[in-house]
Parts: sequence; structure tokens; C-alpha cells
Amino acid sequence: MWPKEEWRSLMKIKEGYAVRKFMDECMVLPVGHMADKKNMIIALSKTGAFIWEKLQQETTFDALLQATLDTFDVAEEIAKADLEEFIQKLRKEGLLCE
Amino acid sequence: MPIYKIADLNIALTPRSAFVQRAMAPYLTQEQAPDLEISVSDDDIAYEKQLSGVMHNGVCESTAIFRKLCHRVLFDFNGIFLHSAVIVSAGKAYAFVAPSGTGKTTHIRLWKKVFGEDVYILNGDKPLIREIDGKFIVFGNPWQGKENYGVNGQCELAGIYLLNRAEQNSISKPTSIRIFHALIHATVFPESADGRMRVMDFFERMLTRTKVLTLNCNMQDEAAYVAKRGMEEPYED
Repeated sequence: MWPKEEWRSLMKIKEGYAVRKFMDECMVLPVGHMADKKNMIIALSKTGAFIWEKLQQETTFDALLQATLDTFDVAEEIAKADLEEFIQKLRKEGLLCE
Repeated sequence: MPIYKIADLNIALTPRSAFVQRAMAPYLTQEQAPDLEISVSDDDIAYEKQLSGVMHNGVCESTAIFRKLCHRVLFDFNGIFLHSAVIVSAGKAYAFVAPSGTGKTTHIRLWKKVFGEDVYILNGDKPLIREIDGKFIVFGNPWQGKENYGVNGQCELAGIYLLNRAEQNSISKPTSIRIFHALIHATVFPESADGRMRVMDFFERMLTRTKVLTLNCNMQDEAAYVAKRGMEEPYED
């Protein structure tokens, strides 16, 4: 579970990444000063692309969860688990400034 | 200044070494109006030496020319370099893409052995591909890899194989992510966002006219038959 005290802490995607569609997939790729990380390419799901877009501005776990629930037809528990997994992945890849 | 015709472009270039002069000689043209000019400096050669560890002046000059050419082709002449071995069969070009050492050359040799005069190697290592009038044309060029397989010719691209070594021969349909990874690792992926988008745009357009298959293959004759048949049959999902 996402620690309750972190629900309102701010996070944002670091600079130096571009998102674009390639065939039927949405991809994140490093550009400019991050461009040497050639292997670091992430494929985003539809929800992933939505969250990524939201994370271009500072936001919170709370706000992201709410936005997801407002936009997609998904149960809260599932949305929460998916969001958590996604944010952990971004963290692990060092893509978030928090 | 000598002019060379490569990838349907007139390139004004003065080779510095006998090595480059020899390699490029078959591409000399009498045409006068250059589309672009390429020159290589001492610094460019020093850079290639540092990057590759190869100390041969001619080889490094050749690499420096190719690097500049690829850049110009990408940004000004709607084309790309694809690290691959390209074979022509029944008037269509097929590119085999895989990291060095996977067995691209071994596999295209197999095609030559199995299909004989029906096929030829257009370029064994570094073909250039340009989009011309909506078609994707593969061009032979002087950069043909260590085996030096290739000819000064051109042919429309019809298919790409992403090659894996395997015990058994089989083909399958790769995912978009697999295709993307394979292709960007087979070209010069610029650092700028603009350059990266340009490469991806090019590949996307190219893929609308090109069939892509994963080819798992061993080194037996059957591998060539399985590969060829795979291209001829419709996709199985």
C-alpha cells in the first residue's frame, strides 16, 4: 500500500523525456541531455500514458488516483494498485523528482 | 572535386587516403551538380579512432565519412542507415536485422547457397534506405562490412527479419516494442528530441509498407526456406 502520509507529497516527471506513439504503442524515450540512456525505453499503457501526462506538472498520488477514477471505468482498489505499481516503476527508473 | 553517387545523391568529396579512394571508386559519377558536400578533418578521424580503438587512418576516415553521410541523409534527404544485411529476391529487398555476432552474414550466405542465382546480396552490413515517391528504397554503398558483400545497386524494401539464433527454425510476428528496440539499435539514434522523432517517424512510415517478422533460426539450409516462406505467407496472429 502507498503510505498514507505520502498521498499528498508532490512529485513530477524529470525533464529530458519525450512520449510518443510508435505503431500501436506509447513509448517514453530519453532525449537531449538524457539521450545516452538509449536502452531506457518504457512502453506505456493507455492509463500509463494518462498518468505520465498528469505528471508533467507537480501532482500527488491522491490527485492522480482521483483523476484516474474520473477518467477510466475502473474499481478504486484496482486503480490504486495499478497506480502504485506504475509510480514505483517510475521511481525505480529514476524518472521522478519528489 | 570528385563526385560520388550514393543513395541517389551526388556527393562531393575528396578522399584523403588511398583506402577510401579505392573503396569509393565504383561510385564515381560524371554528373556535376552535387547534392551535398562532405569533408573530413583530422579531428573527425581522431574522434573515430578514440571511439573504435581502430588506429587505421583510412578505416577511420571511412567511418567518419559514413557518420556524416548518415546525418545528412537523415536530416536533409529523408533516409536512414539500417545496420543489417540485405538480400534481393524476386525484385524485392529483405533486410536481416540483429546485433553484431548474431549471424546475419551466416544467414544470408545460406540464402545464396540455397537459392543460388535467384538472390543476391545488395549490402552485407550498412545499407542506406531512403523514402522516394512514397517507396522505401534500399541502396548499396561502399560500406559493406568486413566480408565486403554488396553491389552498387538499389531495390525497394519489402520485408525485415529480426534475427535470433535458435535450435529450431520458426517465424513469428514481433510486438511493436520488439520492432522498435531492434530498429533503433540498428541505426544512429540522434540525441536531440527532433532527431529522435525524425527517426521514429521514418520507421513508422517505413513499417506501413514493410512486413516485419521475427526469425528464429539455426545454421541449416532449412532456415532459409522457413524465412522465405514466412514472408510469402500472411501473418498468423
